[in-house]
Amino acid sequence: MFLRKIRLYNFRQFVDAEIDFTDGITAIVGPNGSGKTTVIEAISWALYGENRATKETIAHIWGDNKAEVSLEFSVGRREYRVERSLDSAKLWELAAEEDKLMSTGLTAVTSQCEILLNLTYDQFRSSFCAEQRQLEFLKFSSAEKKQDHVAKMLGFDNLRTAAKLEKDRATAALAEWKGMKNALGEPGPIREEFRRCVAEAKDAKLNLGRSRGLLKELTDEREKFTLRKDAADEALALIKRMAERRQIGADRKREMENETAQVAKHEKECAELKRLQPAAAEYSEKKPKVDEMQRAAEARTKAEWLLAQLKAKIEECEKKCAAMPTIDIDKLERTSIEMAKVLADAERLVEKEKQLWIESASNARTAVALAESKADQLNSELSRAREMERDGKCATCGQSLPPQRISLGAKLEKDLEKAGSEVSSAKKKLSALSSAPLPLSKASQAADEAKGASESADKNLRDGRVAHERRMEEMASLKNAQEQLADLEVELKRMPGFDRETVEKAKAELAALQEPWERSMRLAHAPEYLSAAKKRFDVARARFEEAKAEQGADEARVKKLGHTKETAQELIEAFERLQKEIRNAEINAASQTQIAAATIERMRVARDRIRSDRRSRAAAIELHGKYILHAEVAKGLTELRDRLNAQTIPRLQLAASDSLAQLTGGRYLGLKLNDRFEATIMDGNTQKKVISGGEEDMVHLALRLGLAQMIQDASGQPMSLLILDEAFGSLDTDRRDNLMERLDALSGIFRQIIVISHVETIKEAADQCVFLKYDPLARCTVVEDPPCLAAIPS
Amino acid sequence: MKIAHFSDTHLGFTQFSAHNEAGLNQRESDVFGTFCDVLDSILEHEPDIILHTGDFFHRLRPSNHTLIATFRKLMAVQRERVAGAFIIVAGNHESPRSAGSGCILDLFDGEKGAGIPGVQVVVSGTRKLNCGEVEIACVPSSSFGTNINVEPVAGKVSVLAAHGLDAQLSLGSKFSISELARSSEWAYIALGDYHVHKELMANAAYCGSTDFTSTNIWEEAAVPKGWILFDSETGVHTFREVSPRRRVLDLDPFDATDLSSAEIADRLHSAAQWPRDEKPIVRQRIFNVAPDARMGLDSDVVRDISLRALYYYVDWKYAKKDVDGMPVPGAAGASLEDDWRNFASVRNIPSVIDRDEFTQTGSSAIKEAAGVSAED
Repeated sequence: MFLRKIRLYNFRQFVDAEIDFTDGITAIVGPNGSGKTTVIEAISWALYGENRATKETIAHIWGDNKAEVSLEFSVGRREYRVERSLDSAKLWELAAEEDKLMSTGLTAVTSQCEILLNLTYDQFRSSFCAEQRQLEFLKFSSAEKKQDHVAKMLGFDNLRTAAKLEKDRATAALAEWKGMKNALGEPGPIREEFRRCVAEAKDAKLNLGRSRGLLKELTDEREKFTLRKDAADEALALIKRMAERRQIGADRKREMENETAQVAKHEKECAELKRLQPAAAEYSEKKPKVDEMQRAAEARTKAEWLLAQLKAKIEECEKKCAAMPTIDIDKLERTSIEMAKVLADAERLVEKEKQLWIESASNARTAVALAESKADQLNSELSRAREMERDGKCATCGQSLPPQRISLGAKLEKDLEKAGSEVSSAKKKLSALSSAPLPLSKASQAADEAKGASESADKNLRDGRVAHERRMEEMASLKNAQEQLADLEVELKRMPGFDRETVEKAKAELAALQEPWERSMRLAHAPEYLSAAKKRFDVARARFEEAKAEQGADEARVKKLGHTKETAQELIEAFERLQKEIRNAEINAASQTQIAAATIERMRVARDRIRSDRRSRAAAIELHGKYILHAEVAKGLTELRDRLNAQTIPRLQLAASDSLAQLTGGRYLGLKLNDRFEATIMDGNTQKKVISGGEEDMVHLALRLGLAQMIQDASGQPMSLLILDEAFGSLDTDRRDNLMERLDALSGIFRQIIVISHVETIKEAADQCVFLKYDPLARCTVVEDPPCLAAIPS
Repeated sequence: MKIAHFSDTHLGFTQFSAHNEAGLNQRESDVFGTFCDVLDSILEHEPDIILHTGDFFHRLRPSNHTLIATFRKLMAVQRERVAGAFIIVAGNHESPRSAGSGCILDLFDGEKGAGIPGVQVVVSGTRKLNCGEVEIACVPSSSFGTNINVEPVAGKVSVLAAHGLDAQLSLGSKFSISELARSSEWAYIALGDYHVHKELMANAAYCGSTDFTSTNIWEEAAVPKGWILFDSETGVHTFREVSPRRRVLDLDPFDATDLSSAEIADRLHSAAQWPRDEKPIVRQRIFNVAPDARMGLDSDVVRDISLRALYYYVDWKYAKKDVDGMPVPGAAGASLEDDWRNFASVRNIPSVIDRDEFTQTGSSAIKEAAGVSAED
């Protein structure tokens, strides 16, 4: 196998990274957690869909949960690409023309990869991938553990599982065989039961024949009886129907008589209608004319009443207008405006005087405060001066005072006295300003008077407007009534005149004709009713005749059948008795059939039991054979495992010797392993113990490569790929250098070696170096060139 | 004009755990020595242009020693050539993963600061270099994933220099050297990456590596190494052989069936024949060796031979049947099921058991057990 390229998309730490692999040693270097081992896991995941993590942890934590790995590799001369995501997988064979899809689906692709590589996942991991702890597998405590570990790596362990499976099957087969053997009784009773069932079946068959014969006789007799019974049934039915038809005939006769009475009634009404028709025609002619005369009389009466009403209203309006005086609104408005101006002037004067008063009072308060402050200051200075002067010192400079000097205290006392009089004067002024001054009082009084005059003028104006509006309304109402009166008089003149007596006479004549007219209206449909009654009478008569005829036909048929009600009933009863006998015979025959079937079923069951017994005995023999087979296979598998285990040490010794010789360029030809897997190196023809750490690492590496060789030999593939995962992890510097030297030798054995390490010096030994770095900003691992190269400007 | 074409020098290549007196890896020293020999051979022919088609270094970041030695050698060569054109097209081994990282070959580029006069390096993209009447289109390894569009120039001698395997390149359907060589008017297509000298077409050739630096050196053991001289006037390219500093010998294999340890030792000894002052790299394959014969071999014999070689590798191929004639379980190509079938075919079993059924039951159990293990 040869790896060409891997692309990781949203896989663990990687968001989107691609790594190309070439021949020789490829070092994947990076700090812990940068995703070095993830690259190897991605390889095995792409091929086998297996991984140390769960499905949930495969996808990149910040990604879109669509983890995908694409791996290109070659086996022999063919090249492949496997693409695997969490829910799908595809395997392609790459070709120059067009890639060929080999398989699709998670399981199918895994199976196909197993076939291509001829390795299972475990074998792949054990052969291609060597982790540090695997290099040190020889450090296991006991030889058994070492043996088990090696057997597991080589796959021999499956033989133990297979042998156990076979042993379990043998045990199960044996237990089943024993159980079956105990369950199988003697064959005698089963055969006796079968014979008994055969005899019973014979009897049942005889009884069934008899009952079926009786049933046939009775059935034949019923067939003969059937025609007579049908005639009796018909006669009885006809007799019953004749009674019903008699009742129908009587009903229809009553219907016919009713219709006859209706015809007579409607003929009488038609005659009356004919008699009333002239009077009704006259009424219809006069009625519109009288109504017209009546409406004209009523309209004239109403107009005359309205005329009288209007005249009365006009007279009243004229009186009201005459009583209302004429008012000069313009004059009232002018007066009101003048009074308002006088009031505004008076109010402005009041406001001015009030402002002057407030300012004077404020000045007086300020003067009092200043005078009091000055008095307080003088008072304080006086106290201090008195105190200093008591000690004979100048209150200003603190020097001793000459006796002839005027005392400062005396001067301050005079000033204080003057200040006191100033305070009194200021307070007097303030006191005088506590009540309103005379000009303000006078102005306020004038303003109050102007306000009264203005309000009075406004009131006169409002009252004048109301009275004026009322007079105008009244005059408009008078004009309106006069116009209506004129219109009404014109209309009254246009109305025709009428004679009340003529109208009353016409109304009396019309009243005399009203009753015959109303009666003729009620009888208007009498001819139609008469025609309908005649038709119904004809139908009733036809139905009566029909019933009568049907009754006659039934009587004739009964007479022909020759049955009376009694003879027909007697015959029917006899037939029912025969039917009953047949039913009994049928039940008997069915019962006998069931008995025969049950007997046959018992016979069949008995026969099946005999057959089942034979089969069970055959199965028991087969089961015993199976037990022997599985037990023998289990033994064989165990023997093979023992044999392989016995060969493990010599084979491992051989394979590891070859690897050791290669690793050392022939310096050491080989190594020998004892039963406890303890190695001694063949130095020339001398066996020497592994002493130094370097030798120990070399031997471990040789053993690990030997094991890989054995696994890959079994798969039929040449050794081409080796993956060393942190194989240098905990080694000290010397041992690490030693092992790195061996990498050069390994490159002669394997076409492709991938070394994973956090030790950066590994790049010195590698043909290609891939640096992985976790980018905290992008929150993923990125693939980089060696740091030293990245530093060179391009 | 004369163009010297060489390739795949893989300077800095190390192999085996052998060191010289200076403490350097012996193979690294050998490879550098061969590189010098090749350049000396080239200088004798006084080419107008020297063309290297990739994998100049083996590693992306060669050791200081390798860099210094290489720089000195190239400087000496260019001094002698009076800064004649020396073109290097980067191969996959020195191509950085990201373009921003830079390539170590830039250190030698005479056009970039303190490089070596006359040396021109093409690391990425495609670039046409004008060398008088010859125009060289350079396609480094890193350009092979992209769409490459190079055309010969009319009226000039057009040479294409590329690093990559034709077979691999055609997979991407982007660039096919074979097609290019057939259909165009390239005077010469100089190729690198393939370690064996191979004339691809009349006007296209891989010149091969200068030394044994691939992972499978045994296949190249009998193949001559060297460089190609192309004459633009005649259009002829000639392979000039230069022997690597150290030989690789893949000795004739022999069959060890029925041979004892002593007889094998004799055969090994007689096969290991080379001049006493030479320490080659040697492989001896032996088939059908009995394991006991292998383990009983006189180690001193192998050790003596190893001391005469830089690396002596005996490739043991073991017999697939044991002394009783029974197949050896776990022999190459044999799975656990194969082992079982072989075992079951000869094991004594009770007469009541059918042998086929016995074998089949065991095989099924092994398969089932493998499934159980996988589930565990």
